Amino acid sequence: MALLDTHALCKEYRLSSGILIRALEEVSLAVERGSITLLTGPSGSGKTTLLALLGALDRPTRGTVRLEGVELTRCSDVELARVRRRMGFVFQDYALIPNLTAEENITYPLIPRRVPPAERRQRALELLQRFGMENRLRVRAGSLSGGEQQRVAVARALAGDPDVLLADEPTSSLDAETADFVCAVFQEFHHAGKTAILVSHDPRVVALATAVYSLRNGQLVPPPTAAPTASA
Amino acid sequence: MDARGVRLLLVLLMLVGVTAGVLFFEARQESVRQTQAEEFQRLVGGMGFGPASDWEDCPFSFDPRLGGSCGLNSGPLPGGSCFCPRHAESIFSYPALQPQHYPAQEGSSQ
Amino acid sequence: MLFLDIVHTGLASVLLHRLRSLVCVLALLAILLPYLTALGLSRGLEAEAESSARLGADLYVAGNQFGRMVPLPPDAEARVKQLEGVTRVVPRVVGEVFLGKDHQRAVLLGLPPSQFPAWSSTVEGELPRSGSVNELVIGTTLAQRLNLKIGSMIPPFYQNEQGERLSRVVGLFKANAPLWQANLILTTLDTAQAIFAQPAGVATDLLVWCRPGYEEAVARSITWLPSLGDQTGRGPVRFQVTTRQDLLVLLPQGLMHREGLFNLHFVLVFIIGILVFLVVSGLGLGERRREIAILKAMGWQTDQLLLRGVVESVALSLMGACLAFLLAWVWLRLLNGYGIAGVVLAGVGVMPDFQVPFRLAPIPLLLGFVLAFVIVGTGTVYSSWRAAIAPPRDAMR
Ligand SMILES: Nc1ncnc2c1ncn2[C@@H]1O[C@H](COP(=O)(O)OP(=O)(O)OP(=O)(O)O)[C@@H](O)[C@H]1O
Ligand SMILES: [Mg+2]
Repeated sequence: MALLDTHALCKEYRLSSGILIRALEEVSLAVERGSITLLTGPSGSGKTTLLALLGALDRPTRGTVRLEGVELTRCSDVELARVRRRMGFVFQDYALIPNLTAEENITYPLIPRRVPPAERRQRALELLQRFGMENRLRVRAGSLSGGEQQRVAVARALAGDPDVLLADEPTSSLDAETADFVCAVFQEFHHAGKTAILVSHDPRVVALATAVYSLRNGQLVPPPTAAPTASA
Repeated sequence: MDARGVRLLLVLLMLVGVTAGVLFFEARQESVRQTQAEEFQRLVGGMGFGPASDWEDCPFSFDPRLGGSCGLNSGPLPGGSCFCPRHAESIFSYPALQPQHYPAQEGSSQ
Repeated sequence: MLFLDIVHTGLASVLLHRLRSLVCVLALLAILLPYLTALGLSRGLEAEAESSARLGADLYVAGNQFGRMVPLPPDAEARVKQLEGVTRVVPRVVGEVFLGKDHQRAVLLGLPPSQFPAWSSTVEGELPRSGSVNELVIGTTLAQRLNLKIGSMIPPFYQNEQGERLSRVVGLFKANAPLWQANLILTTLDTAQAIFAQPAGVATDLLVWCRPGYEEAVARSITWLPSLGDQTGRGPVRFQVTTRQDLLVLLPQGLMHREGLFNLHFVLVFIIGILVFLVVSGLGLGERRREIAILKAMGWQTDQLLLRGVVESVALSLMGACLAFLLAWVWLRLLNGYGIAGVVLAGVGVMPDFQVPFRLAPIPLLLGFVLAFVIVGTGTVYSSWRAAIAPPRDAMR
């Protein structure tokens, strides 16, 4: 059984002007355990929307998302929180809490995971050291540069030791060297037998993929391939 | 524990502590006030009751023992308990004294 | 452990949203400071009033004609004295006089000098005696406004066909005596009778002390004494009695402060309360919504986010209530009710010349805290709940 799968997933937005936007239409896919699944497609094709649905951050208009066979739309609020605690999310806009320090941004998600305070700080320190940011520990996230924020966002997603990593353009603001390093971290995550779902146009990230889904206008194009395409 | 929460906790504890200290101090002051009040009231035989330090136009608001009600209070003001200017500014108002009525036969027996 | 950690983030979030916290606490101060100050004054006054009733005489007897209080003729004292259960009767004269070129109002009180102790801790100087000059003990406001000191002489301020005398200040009331001393002049009974140009023996009222348990019986007997004679050619004068109990029932019961200033204050609370609610739930709403959505996306549960909001509200309310209390104390104790005492106490200037009576008790503070929490808590928790029940992605944009 696939770790995550969707069936006829639709997401529509109705604007206040009454216009209906179909962000996703009839998307059915399966994410295998231990895979690195890549979502590609042009801007506005629905990648972020799909990722949010897979990560239990949004409700579909129609269709289902299942994690290990359990339908997420049927889950209670508490169960959804439990699902989210198994995941690590890197947002396209980083979504750090600007008034918290880099360290706090990493430790706050660990609180509902019942990680003791000392270990929370230890993990934050280790992760920020790995990403070369140990001297930014006590800096407000809002005053970090874009690339720094992105690294904190990746560190935050990994801090909870997730089963599934969902990353939306995780290298978009990074220089080549740092992007390589982040890719190495993803690779290591993959080797630990965990599942990653990545949205990216970065060839370095694309090269990691074990499965690729392409989206266009909210629809999957053409039949999904099982292995990386020539773009690698 | 992050420094922010601890700092605020300290500020809160300090505030509560100082407040408790002031409450304690005021409770002790109460006995001082009590002695002064006792000395004064014994000297003058009970004087003063209301929120006024003199009896301009309204002895009642100074001490109802000097006038059982306020003449200005019965003014035709809708819903008005505040017709008398001395009462209007009051934080401590009280109704007019109720004259006691004692049954005649009991009283006349003495 | 989890609970404590969340409590901790709640405390931290007070500092995280500084502007909101500041506005919140300031608004709470605007509500609670006038409330605690006015209630403190009112409670202090109530305590003094109660002392006045409890420590005064058992009964106050005055004359009554046409339903109005009138002075008692000389034979009244003897008639009350002979009643069973009466232990002591003291005649007194109370009236209003005007002093100085600004016609400063004063309450003049005359008591038989035999009633005075040798010395009183509420009076600086001496107590008045009968003699060739009028000896007066003066209240603090009078002394201040008329620039009187112990030993000051006051030229005649009254008219008497038998001739007026000089008056000398022999004592001053101390500033920490009850506020009614401020415009009081204490003197001997005969001096007071002379100042009001009344014959000896006339009293405005009689202070009556009874054997314990006899108060009501004596009050009844006095009411049914035959009317006093037609001395002035204006018909008989009846007796009128005010008991201690009559006074005590005038004291407000418990927290029922619905009068005067408090009505105004409740309107104020209502208006500012709504404003605070709007500020609390509106200020930085977008930012807070996003923050809650991010935490939710990171695995926080709705109840945990609400607990965080409650802790934040408790901290803000506690801060607002404690600060309001401390400021009220500073205002009343250290600044002696500067400004506000003149507003709520009749006959008092901006800067009172006596120690303003007040009493800051824990209960109003507690009520203030509860009120603050209701306002801040509903605002915070409601907006947190709104953000927390939405899917994180909706709330994040
Ligand atoms: N909350 C929303 N309300 C209205 N329209 C939305 C909303 N979220 C997304 N959309 C629309 O849905 C479509 C897909 O958006 P999405 O963010 O998933 O695209 P994307 O593939 O991630 O694009 P990009 O590569 O630029 O990030 C877009 O047309 C977008 O305008
Ligand atoms: Mg996107």
